[in-house]
Amino acid sequence: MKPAYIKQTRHLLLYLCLLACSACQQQVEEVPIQWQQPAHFPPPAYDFSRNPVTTAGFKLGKRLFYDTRLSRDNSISCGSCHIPTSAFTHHGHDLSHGIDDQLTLRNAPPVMNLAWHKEFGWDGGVFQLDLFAISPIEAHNEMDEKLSNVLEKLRADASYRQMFKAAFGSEEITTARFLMALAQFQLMAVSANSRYDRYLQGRDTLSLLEQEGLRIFQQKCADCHAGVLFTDLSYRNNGLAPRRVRIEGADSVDTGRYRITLQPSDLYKFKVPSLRNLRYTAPYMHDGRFRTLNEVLEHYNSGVQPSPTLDPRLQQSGRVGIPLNETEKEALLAFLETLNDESFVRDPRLSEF
Amino acid sequence: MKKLFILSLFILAALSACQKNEKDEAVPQTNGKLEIKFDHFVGTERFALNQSFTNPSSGESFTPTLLKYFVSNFRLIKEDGSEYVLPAEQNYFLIDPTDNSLQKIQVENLPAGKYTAIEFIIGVDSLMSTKDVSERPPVLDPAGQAQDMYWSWNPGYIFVKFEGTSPQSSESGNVFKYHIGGYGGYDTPSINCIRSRRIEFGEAVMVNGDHTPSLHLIVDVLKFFNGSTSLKIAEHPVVMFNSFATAIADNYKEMFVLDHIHED
Ligand code: HEC
Ligand code: HEC
Ligand SMILES: [Cu+2]
Repeated sequence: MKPAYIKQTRHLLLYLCLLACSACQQQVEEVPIQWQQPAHFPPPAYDFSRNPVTTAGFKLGKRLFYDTRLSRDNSISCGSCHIPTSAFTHHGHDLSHGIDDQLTLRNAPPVMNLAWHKEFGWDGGVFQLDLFAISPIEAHNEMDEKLSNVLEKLRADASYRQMFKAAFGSEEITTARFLMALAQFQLMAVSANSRYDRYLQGRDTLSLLEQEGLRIFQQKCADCHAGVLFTDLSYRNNGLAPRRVRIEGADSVDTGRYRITLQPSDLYKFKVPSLRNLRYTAPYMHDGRFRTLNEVLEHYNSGVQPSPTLDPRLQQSGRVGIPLNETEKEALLAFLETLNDESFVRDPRLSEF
Repeated sequence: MKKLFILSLFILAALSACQKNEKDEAVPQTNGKLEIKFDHFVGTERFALNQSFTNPSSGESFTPTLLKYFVSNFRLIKEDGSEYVLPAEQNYFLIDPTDNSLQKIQVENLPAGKYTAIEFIIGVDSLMSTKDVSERPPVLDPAGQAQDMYWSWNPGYIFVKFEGTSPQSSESGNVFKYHIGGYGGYDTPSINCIRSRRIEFGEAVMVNGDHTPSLHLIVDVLKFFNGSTSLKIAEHPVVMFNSFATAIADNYKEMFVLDHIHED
């Protein structure tokens, strides 16, 4: 468009903006919900044909996600540990705390871009997004409730029966419908509008420092934190020294992917996490051991522990870890900043209120 | 005299049975039913919760507090080798020795014929274990009967759940817990505790509209401990999702034996 034209229409634009904003305020709930494929993303892994996202299904899923009735004493919701303004993590907690303030085994990962994941949880033990919800509901240190009780509580609530009808055609509240609605809400948590995304689409620029950071990132990190998701979704050991934890009351170590496959070659491997929205998701790693990104970078530089399953990418040319000097770190940090997506953490459709 | 009378009764009965058979072969045959009963024992004693038993092989004693398991994928094998497989959605069963309604399987609508064996698996096959929840039968609903027979963090069914106490257990409260499952792994191989069991009748059993035979299986819980691997509570008081589970699966397969058949 020509500058002159813009000048002429500036008033009109302003007016339209105002109109649009006021419309938003009034009708936030009324905007029809649709799952949209970001143009620069790969096709999703989730099979939407068996559970298409609908406005009614999403609304129901959202209500469920923030409903504390999903826990035994009605104290905790999914949203208690997956807080939208923290990119759906449990901010400030290394391990999350669930019911009766008990600690979880692991740090809550973001509920974000999960439509592209094939497996869920740090160890990838859950092979379908729908199925994931049962695990926090029934875990004694999370919500400690029985799925059947949850469904009973919901069945007793006429407004829920109404919402199930709107979403699935009848008032019947079944396990599958419950899980599908929750999945619909979670699938809508798409972060694809960071500055880096806009840069990829030619709608924004990166500073020289950020570009330098991108270059280093591609060289040293992108093998694992790959593509626009910033994860290749594989399981890897990035050299964190195993720490003692309690599993079902017993002193133990978190063996990661090994818990699922029982293959020794999978010991201490965890799903490569995305690096989007790191500003909101601290602390870092499966057990939240690092509070800052500086600590993370220093881990790669000097803290990587050799072990039989350490990723080969982290032991090249006779050196363990990824050498990073201070200028490289600064550039990397600048680049990682461009992956923060304000519009995602402030998305009114996803937030509780 | 009395003896003679009984003998002649027998002969008559045998004759009429023969006649019936001949008739059956001529007349178009109607589908029948078959019942499979699971009777639980510990060696020669009847299984019961909260009762102490001793394993003669190991000398260990144990008091069961819970036993439940899944059997599925029943197929009935005919004399001519052909097979009848139950409809998929009706081929999964939870067996609970403390619940009378959960110790019997009724096979309805079984094509008439002479059957010589059944085959089933202890556990839930990988196909059903990974199916959409909406497509699973009610017995496998994680919010229903299968609620405490399901691992949510590693989705799949606990095939056999056996818990109790034993003075030989070093766990707190002297408990032992065996939660055995694992269908082989979703996309990466993992443990497989599915075991298939074939039970030969040793004779041909007629099924049709008039005959509803009943198979009585004995499930000997001692075999859980004394199979190809000797499971000692002292050494393994708790076994859940780990590699040793497959040895226990080899054992539990041996629990199921045919005791007798009621032909009608
Ligand atoms: C007590 C805190 C807590 C609550 C409540 C909670 N979660 Fe989580 N969530 C976690 C933790 C911790 C993990 C990591 C689990 C693991 O890897 O073992 C997690 C992981 C997840 C994942 C996997 C994400 C990934 O990247 O693979 C999903 C999906 C999820 N939660 C959804 C939910 C839903 C839906 C609910 C409500 C039904 C819920 N969570 C309730 C703490 C919680
Ligand atoms: C060999 C693969 C690999 C390489 C190379 C790699 N990472 Fe990682 N990264 C991982 C894995 C795996 C984790 C999760 C480890 C865990 O929690 O056990 C991780 C975790 C992280 C986290 C924490 C994220 C969170 O949400 O908790 C950050 C930040 C990170 N990596 C940044 C980087 C940077 C920057 C580089 C390049 C200097 C890099 N990584 C190189 C595999 C890798
Ligand atoms: Cu908190």
